[in-house]
Amino acid sequence: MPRVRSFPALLALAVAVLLGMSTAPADADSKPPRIAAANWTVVETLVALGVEPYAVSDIPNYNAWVKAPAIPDSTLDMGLRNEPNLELLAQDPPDLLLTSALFSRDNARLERLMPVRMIDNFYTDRPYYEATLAMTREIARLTGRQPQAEVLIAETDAVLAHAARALRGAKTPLYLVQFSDAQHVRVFGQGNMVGTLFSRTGLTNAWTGPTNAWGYASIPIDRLAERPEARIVVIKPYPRGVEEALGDNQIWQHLPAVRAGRVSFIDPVWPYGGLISLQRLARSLVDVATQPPTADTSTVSSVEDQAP
Amino acid sequence: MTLRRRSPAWFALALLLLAVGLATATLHTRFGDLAGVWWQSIVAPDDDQIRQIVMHYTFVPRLLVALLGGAALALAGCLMQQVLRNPLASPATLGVTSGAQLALVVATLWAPSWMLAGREWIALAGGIVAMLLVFALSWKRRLAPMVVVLSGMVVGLYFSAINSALLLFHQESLSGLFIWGSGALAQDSWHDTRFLLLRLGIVVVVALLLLRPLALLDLEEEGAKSLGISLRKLRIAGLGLGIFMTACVVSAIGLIGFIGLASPAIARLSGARTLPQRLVWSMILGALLLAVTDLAVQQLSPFTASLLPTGAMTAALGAPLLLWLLPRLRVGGSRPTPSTGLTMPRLARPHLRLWALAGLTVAACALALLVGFMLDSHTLYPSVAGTGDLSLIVDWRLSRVATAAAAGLMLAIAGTLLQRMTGNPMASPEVLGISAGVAIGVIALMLLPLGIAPLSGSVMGFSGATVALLVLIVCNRRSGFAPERLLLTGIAISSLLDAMRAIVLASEDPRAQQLLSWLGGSTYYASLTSSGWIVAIALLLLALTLPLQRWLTLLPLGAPTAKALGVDVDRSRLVLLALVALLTVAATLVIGPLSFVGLMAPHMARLMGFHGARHQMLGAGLLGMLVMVTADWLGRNLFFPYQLPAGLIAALIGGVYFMWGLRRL
Repeated sequence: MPRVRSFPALLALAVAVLLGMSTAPADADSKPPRIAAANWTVVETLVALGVEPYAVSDIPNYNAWVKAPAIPDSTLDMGLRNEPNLELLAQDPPDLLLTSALFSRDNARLERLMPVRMIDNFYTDRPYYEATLAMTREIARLTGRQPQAEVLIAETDAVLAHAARALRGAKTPLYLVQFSDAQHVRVFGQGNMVGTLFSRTGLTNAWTGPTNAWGYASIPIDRLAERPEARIVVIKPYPRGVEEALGDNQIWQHLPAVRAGRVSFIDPVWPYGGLISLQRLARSLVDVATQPPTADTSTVSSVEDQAP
Repeated sequence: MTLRRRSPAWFALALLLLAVGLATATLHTRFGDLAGVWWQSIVAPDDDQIRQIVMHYTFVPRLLVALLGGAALALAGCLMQQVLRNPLASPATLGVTSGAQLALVVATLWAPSWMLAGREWIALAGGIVAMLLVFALSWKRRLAPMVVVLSGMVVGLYFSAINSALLLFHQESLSGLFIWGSGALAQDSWHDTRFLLLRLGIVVVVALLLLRPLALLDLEEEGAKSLGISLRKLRIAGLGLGIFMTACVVSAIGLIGFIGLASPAIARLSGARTLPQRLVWSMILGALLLAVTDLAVQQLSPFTASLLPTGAMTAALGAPLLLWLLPRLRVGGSRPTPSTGLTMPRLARPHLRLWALAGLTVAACALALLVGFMLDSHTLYPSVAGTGDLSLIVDWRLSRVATAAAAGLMLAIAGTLLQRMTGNPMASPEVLGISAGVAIGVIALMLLPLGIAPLSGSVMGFSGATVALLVLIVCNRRSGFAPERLLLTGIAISSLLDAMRAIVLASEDPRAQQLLSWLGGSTYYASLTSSGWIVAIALLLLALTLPLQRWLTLLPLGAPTAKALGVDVDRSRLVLLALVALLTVAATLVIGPLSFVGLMAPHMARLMGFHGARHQMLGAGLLGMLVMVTADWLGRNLFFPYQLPAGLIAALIGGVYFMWGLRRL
């Protein structure tokens, strides 16, 4: 186990070395392009490639929902994702605005200020992982960070390979969910980051029902009992008020996974994100699926409280 | 109309059969594996059999909660309609549901620990605050029915505007409230069932005690008064009971709007005459209506990846039903307060005040163009723009200011036309459902997979408005566009939009944020070209409207008087309606359907003393521009770089003024 775990660390070292090699000549050439990005997935990828974005959208919510990598302090906040503040951008336009089809309606207007590129990993015909790799390489090409992108991709492949090895024995099917209120969850299925993880690691997704364009279905929690043997992995954070309400929720308390202590909680991760989010999710899944779940959560322990 | 000795029993029986059929189907599809142990699962489930647990804690409580909630809402609506002598009264039209929802959102965001004490008490507090506000606004008019409903709708609009602003900034953390807000009935324990059963029982008992005096309200007011009844106390007691019932339902199962309005109407139409009959049949019909809708939703849900919220579906199914009922509904007894009752003394020299208003509007435009945030390397500071920033002002501020002004002008004129035409202080493009029609068209474009080039938002919006207008005309032609009928039709169309909005929001589609922003009335997408067009259209329509003063002066005197003075009433109403539609479509497409300005500006003009048709129109137009431009400026700068939609801010600032004006009546 320790031998495998040191692998990402080695890669991180390689990244550091490559970073040092590539930034030196770039500085001599010219100033790096100033990039503004509306889409959090693009923001995540930019920061992961070592670019310091000029302006990005909705930093407070990025910090709550995407979390990592952290946005540098010097980066400007340019408002909501679907309405980048043009009065702000017009005063000192960036060299490039990266946005996605979801958040833009009228790019002709924006192009009077600066070049606009639509980049994301969802509005394509390609499967998630392929699309995310293409997106990462495209961003790298635009910012002159191709070597860093290849390192990031290699690192991600290594993390996935490590996860596949670590999860080889894990036969239990698994629901990966995010609570939307105490009675409903978004359960992730095929065709997104989660689907990629399941197919690359041999984990079985317990949810086989239909999903929407973003790869999840909104379902009442009682449907999590359809596969009684399954494990439930909850992506935090909870929406407000949910944690308290789950204690009284008879369905939740009676779910086979909850009664058997097969529920795990993982740190916030952006399930529509890029390679860093994918790596974080893979690591979290390895952690919870290979270790016996610790019964540290109030909801799990309260099953005992309720037992007659 | 209701001459035949019909009884609601037939309608109720049909609904009951439908409910039983659907319930059996649901049992077979969802719990077919438990066949044979259904009864055991309901009464005493095996603790180790998760399927039995699921059935015990979801299926049965959900059915009961639907029945109880429907009955409770119908009871609340019936009480409110009886007290106010107004078939338009319902928990939603009185602002109670919006108040309850806002209280819950505020508590969730800033005082989550209060939620532990119970959502229901927070919702109740919100509902009571809303109703107290409505009482305060209509107190001086001795809680006259139309003034109460008018106040209720204003309060409701105001609270939902605040609510939308909060949702805009906290979409991710409030996603649960989207689901709750659209009335999803999913249950996880017997808690809600017990909760509702107890409350409903208490309210029914109290209502029975009040039955005799309440029934006397069927007499004319004078008659009831001569019997020694304090109308004010009786109304407060009846309304209070209704609010309490509503708050209980809202806190338990969310917003379910349509039942409270429709069940009493259906009961009355199908032959329930006396108050006890109406109460009983309303409750039975309400219970069955909600249960049938919810069972139908459960049948559909396995086929979709997104959640179908029952409350919103109720409204979606109920709106056509309400439209079908309209020609059969007798809206009598409560003539609207004549519009002259809502005026301040006539001004001796309105011109002076008009010029002052124009000056103020110009000043607001200058402020909106020149003052904003400037960027210095990485710091932002508020500042007056200099000559060097001309391109910033022209490119990115002028288009928004011009769009806001044009939209404000058009909505204000549309509102003035409607209020003068119908002699009804509640008329506005929004209440008539034309804005809603535009919005339905645009949302439909978003939802349907119709990414085809020729189908732009404006085409779909225009189609929506045309359909709304056709519905208005078809439903109202025979009655000669009588004011109350027109309003009811508008409410039905608007409730369809509310339903669609709720379904989109609860579906957690990430595009919902964009929709919210447009619904709130953002000028973000205005360009110089589009604002040029919109200004030209606004001026053209203004020029078309100004020569119609004669109609606008004579129509408020009532159809017979106007006819006697030589006005072709039907034709003039049709022309004015067409103008209103054009004005509303143009304004709504750029600034969304939250056209509170259309309701507000004409009133503000009248409160300022602009009495004559032309003066009121110009005054309202200037006020509409003033409010929208100021709102747009505030929205762009209050939370820079985050932007609030102008329509939302207009509703927030205008609402305060409007309530102040109402209070002075």
